[in-house]
Amino acid sequence: MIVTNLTPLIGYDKCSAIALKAYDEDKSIKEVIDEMGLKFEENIDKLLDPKRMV
Amino acid sequence: MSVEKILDYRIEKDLLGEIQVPNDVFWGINTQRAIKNFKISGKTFPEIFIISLAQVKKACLLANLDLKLINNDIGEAILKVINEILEENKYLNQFPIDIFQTGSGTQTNMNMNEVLANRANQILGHPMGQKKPVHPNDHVNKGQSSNDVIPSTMHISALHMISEKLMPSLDRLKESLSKKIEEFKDIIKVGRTHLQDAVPIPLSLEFEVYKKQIEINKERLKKVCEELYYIPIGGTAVGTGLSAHEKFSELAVNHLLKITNMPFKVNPIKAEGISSHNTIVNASSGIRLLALSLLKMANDIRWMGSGPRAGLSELILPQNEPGSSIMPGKVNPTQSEALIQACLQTIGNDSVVSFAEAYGSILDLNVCKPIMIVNLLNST
Repeated sequence: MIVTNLTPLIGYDKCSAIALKAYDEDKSIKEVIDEMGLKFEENIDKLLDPKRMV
Repeated sequence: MSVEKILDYRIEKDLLGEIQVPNDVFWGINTQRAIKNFKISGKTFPEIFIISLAQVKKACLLANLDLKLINNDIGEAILKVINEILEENKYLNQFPIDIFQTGSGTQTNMNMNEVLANRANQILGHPMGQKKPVHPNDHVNKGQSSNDVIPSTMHISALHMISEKLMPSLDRLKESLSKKIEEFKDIIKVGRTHLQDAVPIPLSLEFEVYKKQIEINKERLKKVCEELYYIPIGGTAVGTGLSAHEKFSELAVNHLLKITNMPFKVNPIKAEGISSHNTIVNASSGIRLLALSLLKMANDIRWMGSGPRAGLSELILPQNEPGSSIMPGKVNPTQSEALIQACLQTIGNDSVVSFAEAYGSILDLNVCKPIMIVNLLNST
């Protein structure tokens, strides 16, 4: 559920779509983001790092 | 005439698909799904819970506006709707979801988010159900999770009921008991132990006991309130505050203080107020102790009033109504009986609250929140 950290950046609905796609296709959140071609100002590995979420 | 007008419903979408939502309601797809998925008791949250939830939403919105995390036009529109709820009691009929729902209260939090977003969109001249420009999650629920919003609402609603309803009734009861103590001060009666004659006792002393118990219970409830002022707002999903601004909780709690005029504080370990509801159990058990005191009083009074010819006949109880459909002239201690039943209900409610803590507080989220607060509020 690390995608929660992206909600302030891209919104709840897009994050839901990412989470569902990752689950359905057995992929990581990062893989789905890469496939969708989404770009973030901050490094995606940092955005999805659990240690930075606490 | 548009298709929607003819059909009387609008189509709303989420990740799970499309469903129909009636055109004339302010709630949205989450609420509509919940109406269908939780057709259980037909009981909905009491109004005070919905009003308290609106107070939490107002505090969170003002915090987000302070932090400039929400665009002013959107923020003003949401604020207008919240004030319509808080000042004009509008939209209180827009919360149809059963109390037996998710243990986190998410459906009811989303119900509020949807009502606020839809009405705000309407104010801004946009159709309902589109989540644009005001989004129920991204704007109304910003920096929040049901997991910190619902516990905060539980505390606020409990405090409203204890301080605005329960405490004033206890004060009135104390006044009535004081009058009886004065009235009965020269009457000496038989004291009884084990239901057998003992030594003489002033009738006023029996009533001093009831009054003292009310005073003890009031003091205990004041301490309960002190605990309830600590809320986990800003903790979001598991108390770590993920996706909320670091200054969000302090700002929100300060706004809440002004909105409610109650001295709320941020729980220093927000996860504690999310994963377990010790303080709600404490409040409930405080009210259970009050119920036990009232039960003794009601029982004593009906015993002393037994008779009139073949009972103790020490008290003449008010004749409020004929007591029997077959025995003419019979009058019963119905006020005592009503009070005893209310006390027993309260003791039952407290058992539910304890079990809800016991079964619900697993790992990082207590998942029996709705029945905990509904039973606690029912006891106030």
